[in-house]
Amino acid sequence: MDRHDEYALADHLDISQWKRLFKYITPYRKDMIILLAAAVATAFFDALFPLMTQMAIADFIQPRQLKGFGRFVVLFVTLAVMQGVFNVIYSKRAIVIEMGVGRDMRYDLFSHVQTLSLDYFNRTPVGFILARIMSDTNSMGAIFSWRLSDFVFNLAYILFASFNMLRLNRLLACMVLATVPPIALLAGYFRRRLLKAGRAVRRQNSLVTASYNENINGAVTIKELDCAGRINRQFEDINREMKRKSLAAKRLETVFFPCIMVISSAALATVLGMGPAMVAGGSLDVASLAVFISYTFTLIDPVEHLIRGLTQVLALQANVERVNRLIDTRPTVADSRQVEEIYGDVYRPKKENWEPIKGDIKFCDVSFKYPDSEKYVLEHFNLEIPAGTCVAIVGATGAGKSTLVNLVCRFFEPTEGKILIDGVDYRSRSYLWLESNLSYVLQTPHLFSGTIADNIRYANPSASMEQVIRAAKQAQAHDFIQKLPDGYDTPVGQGGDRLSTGQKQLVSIARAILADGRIMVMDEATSSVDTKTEQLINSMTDNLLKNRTSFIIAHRLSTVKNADVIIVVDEGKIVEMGTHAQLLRLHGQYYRMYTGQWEEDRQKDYFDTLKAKA
Amino acid sequence: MKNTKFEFLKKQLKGNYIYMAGAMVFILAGSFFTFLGPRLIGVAVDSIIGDKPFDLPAAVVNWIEKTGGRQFFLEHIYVVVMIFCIIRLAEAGCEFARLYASNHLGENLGYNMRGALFEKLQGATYAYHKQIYTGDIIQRCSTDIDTVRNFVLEMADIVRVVCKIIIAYWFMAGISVSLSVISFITVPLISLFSIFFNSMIQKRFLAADEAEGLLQAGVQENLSAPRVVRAFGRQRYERDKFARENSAFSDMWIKVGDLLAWYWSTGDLLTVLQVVLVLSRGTYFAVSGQISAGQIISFMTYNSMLAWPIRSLGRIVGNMAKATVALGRINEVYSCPQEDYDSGIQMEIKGDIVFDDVSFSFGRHRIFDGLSFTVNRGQTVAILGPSGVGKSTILALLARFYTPDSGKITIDGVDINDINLHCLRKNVGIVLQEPFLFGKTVLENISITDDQPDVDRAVKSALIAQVHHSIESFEKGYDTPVGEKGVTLSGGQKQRVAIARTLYSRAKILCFDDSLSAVDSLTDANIRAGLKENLKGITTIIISQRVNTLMQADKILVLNDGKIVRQGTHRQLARQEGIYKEIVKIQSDIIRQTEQEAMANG
Repeated sequence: MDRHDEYALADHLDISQWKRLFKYITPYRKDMIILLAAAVATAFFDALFPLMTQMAIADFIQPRQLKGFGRFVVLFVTLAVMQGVFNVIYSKRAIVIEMGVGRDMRYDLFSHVQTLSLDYFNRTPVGFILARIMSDTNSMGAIFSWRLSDFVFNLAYILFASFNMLRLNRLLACMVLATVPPIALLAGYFRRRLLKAGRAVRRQNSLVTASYNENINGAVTIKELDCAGRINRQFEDINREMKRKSLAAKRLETVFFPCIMVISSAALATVLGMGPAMVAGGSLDVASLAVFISYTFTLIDPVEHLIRGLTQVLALQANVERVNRLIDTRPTVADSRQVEEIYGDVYRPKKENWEPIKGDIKFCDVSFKYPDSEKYVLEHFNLEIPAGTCVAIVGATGAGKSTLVNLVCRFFEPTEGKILIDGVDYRSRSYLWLESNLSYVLQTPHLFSGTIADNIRYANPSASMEQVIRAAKQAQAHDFIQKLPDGYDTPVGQGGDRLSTGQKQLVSIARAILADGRIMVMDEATSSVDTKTEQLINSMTDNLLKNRTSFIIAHRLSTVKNADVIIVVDEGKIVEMGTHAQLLRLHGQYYRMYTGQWEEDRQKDYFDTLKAKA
Repeated sequence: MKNTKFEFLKKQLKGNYIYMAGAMVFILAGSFFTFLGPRLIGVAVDSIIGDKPFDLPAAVVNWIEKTGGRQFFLEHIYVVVMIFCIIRLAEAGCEFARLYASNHLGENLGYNMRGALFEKLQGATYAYHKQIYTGDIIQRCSTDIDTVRNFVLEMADIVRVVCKIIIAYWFMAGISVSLSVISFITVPLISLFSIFFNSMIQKRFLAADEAEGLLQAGVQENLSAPRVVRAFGRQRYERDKFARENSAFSDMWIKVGDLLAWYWSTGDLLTVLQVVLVLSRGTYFAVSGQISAGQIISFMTYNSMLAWPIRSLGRIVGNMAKATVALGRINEVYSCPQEDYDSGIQMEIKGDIVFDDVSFSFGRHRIFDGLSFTVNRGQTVAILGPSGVGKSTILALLARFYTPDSGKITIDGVDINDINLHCLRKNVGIVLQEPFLFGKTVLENISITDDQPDVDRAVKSALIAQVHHSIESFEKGYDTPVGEKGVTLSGGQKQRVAIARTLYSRAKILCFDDSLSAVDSLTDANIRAGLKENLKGITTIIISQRVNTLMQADKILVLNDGKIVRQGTHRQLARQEGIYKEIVKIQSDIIRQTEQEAMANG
């Protein structure tokens, strides 16, 4: 079974899983007491109203007199208003608890997720984590407020109504209440099946959406291959299955609701069949009969809702388990207790104990495989990188160029061997210490919603505007930012989508410059900027990399020629290593890549000059 | 034009009117039986338990008298019970039939709309697909379809509510006209209150929904960029930012909840007060002898049965506006421009291609101005030119994704506009620079044009495309799923699978749109050698910048400024001054210079 299957259902109820979440109710103990008290009170009033009809018949209609009628109306209105007041209290408390529990859970989950290591994000779809943080917490909030109070309300109503009926006529009451268990059993049976059917529908629906997605994205290819007919037929199957599954779920309802009606009729029929004889025999008066009729009409819904509430608990069992599993997930890169004691954790760093960093890096007999793989990508690797050295890593897309950088930044730790920074195993210091000393330009220049200034300042929230602008100037980003109508206050949109990829890269370079770390990583930093800007950035690079230990991952080889060491990677392994000239002499992979790219560049330049002439 | 969206809806409803009619009929009948029950109880209380004369239509009273009158029924109360049970069974039966009809109506409608939109999208023009956003379209095809489907079912709900109200008041008026008037006065009041509050809450809901969307987007951004958070050690910052937004969002919902609390409670209170009013007035009437106890019971039961239907009116009215918008959005997709796949001649294509004085522009941007060239069947032609000059557009024109502004493109002497589109596209196979693969297995991807994959042919195509050995190295070989659920192919592997896919389709004209760029030059050469050997008589067009690739073509077209500036074989062009010669020179220069660099110390 796929562990990321959103639609899987738990097969049984496991209270211990729920118990772990009870701590989220504790802060709302008082609200909870008020809520449940209000639920009982509203149920009490609801159960009281049929008695008012009884009173009207017994005190006024049958004796045909109106003495005390004014008091009766006043009492009735008072009860109605009181119920209204309890209703308001009920709803207000419920939403406070719902939102409070949801908020606290979301906060805890989010904080926890921030501490998880990159391998977790690599193997878990974003949508899956998002569903835990957003929708599961919503459901839990609702179940600890509305669902719980509804349950109490319905139970209280059934009890009050039963009590009143038993008081009026024990035999008739027992006959009416005898229909409750069958209704409950029937509802339980159907609700369980509806739950399963509903999940099947949602699962199928996700297939429909996926099919739309794929075949819209691939529409041009489908045209080229002229296979739209076949694709249409495939969708037709998915679509028909969707209809079939939906109808199967609906069919259950189609049978369920009339069934409940029929059983509830049995209760009414009992009242109707036995009532007249009882009235005639004097053990029941007409007014009480009216109460019975009213209760039998209104008893079905609470019973059905009670069962529905229980089914919802079952429905959420799988989600509770998934939330608990997320909480139980431990980061693969974590600091030991001793390290945390000295250096603090990510949320409470003890910066006063942090050592300054120099930037010497040493790989000591490092072997490494990614956690989800069996294959070693590094075996007994040794490399000494003195502070200030520039290391370039080159290779095709998907060749595994990021591995070394992942290890240096401690996004992953060596499977065997160790990495020393300034002569000390980096695991004996906190990972936040290392992260705070990085200047990292990412391959996909991910920006966050907010302004350009916000994004540059991400590296150092306390930086002044002058520092931000200086960093932007160094990154060659200042010019384009100034030309924007709102300059540094221009919002970049979600994920930075309002900027071009090239502009995003410049901003992310500025961000890294502002971070001012001793270790600098440039992961294909300039792949999407135009040649002129790239040259400008490259001319700054020397200055930028001075006094820093740097790693440059590049697809374009013109940018790495001057590196102190060039590492060539292919299919996850290091295949060549040396200086530019050394590698060229090998006439190997580096040589082929270099000449190939150069040829392309020169051609492009040539065509550009042609264009300029024309 | 204005009503096209309802035309669309009508078309999708076709064949389902029987379910619509059925739903209506059973709503009517069901409501009738629903209200017959309480009436029977009232009569039983008054005239069987009590001794009032039967307040029923004359025919029914006659039948009762003939059967034995009140005394008989009092002694044989089971007859009344049975009548009651029959009424309730009939009601349950109607409910069953109504649900059956409306479920089929809803699901058929959803099914029809999903299918219709899907086919329209697949038939839409190339230009249309270049301008749409997938996310937007998907939303229209899922959420909007649901909205419209629910709206159609809610239309039935309105009928149901109105039916219930009418029938209830018909019964109620039979008991007491003046009491019914009192009860009825509150109906417009409560429904107006409900409509008003609903529209008010809708706005707040929307605002809270937006806040939720923002919070969600923020989390999504954070989750998509864990590397950025770590690279700058910003975990605490992210947590604190989230805490702020999270609290703001929760507070917003609490405010919505406050409003809702008042809405629900006031609604409940109004409903109860209406009951108070009706019951006190009814009691007064009963005391003054205008109506009986049994009638009060029936009347109050009817009155309580109406509370929810009346209050739901507000919600339904609110949804109506939403549904109209959704229907409009769906209809926009449904009306997307379609390609014509039906007309044109079917022919056996041999592969002689002629571009005759073709001009073409995108908007105001001129791409070609009198482009002419010929390719003979079986030839391999290479196209060279600066980027943006329209090399890919030549292929798009050949596959009729676009039509030229003027001039003519012919295959085997027939204008491609006169060739059936299926016939044309089946025979013009294009491999894109960045190919799209489906989330299916490798085998299914290669044989996507076939209902039944021919494994031998797929393997043979994969061998020519030089991807067979890569595929074999996967654990599940040809059954390896591609994409999210399976292996991630490298750029070069993707291109080679796409080449195998096009080879499998047996097109007579093969076009490679720079699609050999992600594979190294050795593999590139092997693929071309394989093509030459295996595909005799196939016309091939290759777009490339690599001299090694270009030089082996039968003919090289050099494209610049919307025209062919040079054409000929490698040997011819290499001797003429011009673009091609320059390109060849660049290549040899680089080899020489690299050797010099290699000799430098270091």
